[in-house]
Amino acid sequence: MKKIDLKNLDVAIYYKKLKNGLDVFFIPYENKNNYFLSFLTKYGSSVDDFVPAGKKEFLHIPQGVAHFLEHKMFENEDGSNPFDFFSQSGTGANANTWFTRTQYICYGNNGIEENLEYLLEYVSSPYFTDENVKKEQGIIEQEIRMYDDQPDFKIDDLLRLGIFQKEPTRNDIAGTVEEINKITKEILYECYYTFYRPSNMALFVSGKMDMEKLEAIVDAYDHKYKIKKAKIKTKDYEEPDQVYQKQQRIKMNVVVPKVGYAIKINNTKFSCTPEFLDYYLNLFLTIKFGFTSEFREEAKKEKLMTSLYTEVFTIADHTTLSFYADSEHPDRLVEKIKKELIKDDITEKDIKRIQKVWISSEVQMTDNIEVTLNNCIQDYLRYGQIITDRIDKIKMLNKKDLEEIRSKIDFNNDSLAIIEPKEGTK
Amino acid sequence: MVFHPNVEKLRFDQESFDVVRNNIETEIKSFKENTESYSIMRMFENMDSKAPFSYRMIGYYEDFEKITPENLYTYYKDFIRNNIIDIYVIGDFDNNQMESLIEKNFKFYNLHTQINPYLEVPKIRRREQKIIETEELSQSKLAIGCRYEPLEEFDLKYTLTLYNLILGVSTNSKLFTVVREKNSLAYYIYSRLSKLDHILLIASGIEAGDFEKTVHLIKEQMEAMKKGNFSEGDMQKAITLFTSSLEQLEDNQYEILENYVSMQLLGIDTIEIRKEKIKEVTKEDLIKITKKIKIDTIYLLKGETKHEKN
Repeated sequence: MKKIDLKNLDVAIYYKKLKNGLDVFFIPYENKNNYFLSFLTKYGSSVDDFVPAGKKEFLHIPQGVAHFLEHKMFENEDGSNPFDFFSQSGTGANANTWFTRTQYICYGNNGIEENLEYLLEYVSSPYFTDENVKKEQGIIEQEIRMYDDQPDFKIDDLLRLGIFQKEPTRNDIAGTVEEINKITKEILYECYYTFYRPSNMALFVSGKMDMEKLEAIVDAYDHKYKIKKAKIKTKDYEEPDQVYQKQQRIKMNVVVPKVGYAIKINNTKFSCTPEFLDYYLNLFLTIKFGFTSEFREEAKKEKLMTSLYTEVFTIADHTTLSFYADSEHPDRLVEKIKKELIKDDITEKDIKRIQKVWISSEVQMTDNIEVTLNNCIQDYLRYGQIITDRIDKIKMLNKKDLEEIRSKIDFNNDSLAIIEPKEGTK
Repeated sequence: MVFHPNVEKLRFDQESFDVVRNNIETEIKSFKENTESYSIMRMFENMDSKAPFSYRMIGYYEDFEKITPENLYTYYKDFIRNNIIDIYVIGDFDNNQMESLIEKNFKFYNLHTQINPYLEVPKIRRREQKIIETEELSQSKLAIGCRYEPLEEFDLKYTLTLYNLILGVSTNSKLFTVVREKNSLAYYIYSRLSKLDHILLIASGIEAGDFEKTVHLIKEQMEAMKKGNFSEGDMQKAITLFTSSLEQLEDNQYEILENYVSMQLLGIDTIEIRKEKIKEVTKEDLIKITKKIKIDTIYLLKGETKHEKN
């Protein structure tokens, strides 16, 4: 396997691409007892139209299929179930679906080899029937309804509906009750055989491990699943650069209003790499709105908000700067955010201060096997590779480049979402 | 910070007081927004409105309104002076140095005394009560509170823990398998022990119309446990889950600390002893305690659906 050293950090990653196309990453730790496995496909809820493997025509699928498929992978033909298998060694198992990936995870401190073997095997063996699809509809309906009642979750959903016009990213990952009831086993198989090919997937392992033994297991998997690589054709949704809706307001059972606010940016119009764009946008939000920012202190004193969370979110060609807050005065808060965004007051000193904290948190994160694994996955999905010199790059961030990036952002391309209390909610 | 807070003229700094006050006010007001924890709290309140477990940890608006920078500081002084303070430090450091640092910087007013954190064992309701309250929600929330008769130390520490693990902790527990996997009634269902309060809690999110059916299935599972309808395999998996989660804790500094805190405070055994003792639980032990566990309150926060169009 190829060794990739993470510069300035005591971590090395071992990489290999199998003949069937699967990307394999091992991140061994000598001083840990636990391990963490993630087997993922680069397929999530942001695809609603694609050409199924072996076919020529585009297929449109209902919302929520990727997530539905994730649930259904836990079904085995012989009636056994993965939770049962993993529990024999006290291993935790789960799966989750994101816009751009679906991952199957397990974590524990016993039986890493058997569990890896099993993980690769069960995710490679789909078994869908009319009956088990129907059964899952009830479970997922309750999952959707659970989130329906959570205002913090709803505000994010509402905001994406305002930002995106065509991208399926605008829809909830789990879909709607109406949409998931359209899902059939045939649709699941089409998606499975298109997106769950080893060449569209990756395996990440971190923690305590015997790499030689694990390598033998992935090699056996490679031998067993000689599935041809294929180019996957998905629809280009031609998402416009403009936000879809400037403002949305709904009412829910909240006492304090929830605010979501976002700036939509076309990320292909910058001269720097996607990686640097992300660093600069994060740096910008941290200086302006982070925990040590003047904005935060002022807004709290003025009682404009109690909590504020910011995020840089990228899907395909668009990146958003998003804000989420609890606020009794949503409109005044958003006015203040808008002013802050265009206020030209960032100094080199601010940048130095944030860089220091950032670097120390990069070092600290490597002590956690799960966080390190997730960071590698994020790099892999967003940049197509693991970033090996992040600390050096953070050190390179400077005011001139930050200002240049900022000057290219249209801060008026914004979308606001507010959840207001219903009449009589106390 | 602890001994020299931002205080002037015997009152906390007004500005920082206001910021915190505003945050907590929001928290108290939005307590109902989390329907899962709200429904569990309502169940506790119905179980026994005077018991400590039904006191909302975030507090009540009536009390909150009375807090001023002055009386808060008075309380704080009393709190620091008259409470038991333990300091735990973990990581890479020199023991002697750390000890002298702590001695130098922390003036202790109080010597260590052991407190008993366990509540008196309450009377158990003869017949379970059923409470239904309605809210405009998409999903209904079910919360069932069970109580148990006094148990012997070993049973309280281990048999009950194992019972809970088999019943409703993991994704292969009885409740998860039957309510979710076999009957598609819920996305989540779990059971949880609150040993200080002598309560076993079962919670789930369901369709209002499935209330009776879900409760019936839960009772059926508890009855099955009583009759000994669980296998050696079920026990073995629960034991493995218990031991391996104790072992996994050793990779996380914070969890190691937490573990020491609970050992100190609750008098639980060391990890090594716990790993050994859990294996000693027999099927007979389990059946014996199931007879002492009784449903006290079944609470449903019933969702009425009037969907808003987005």
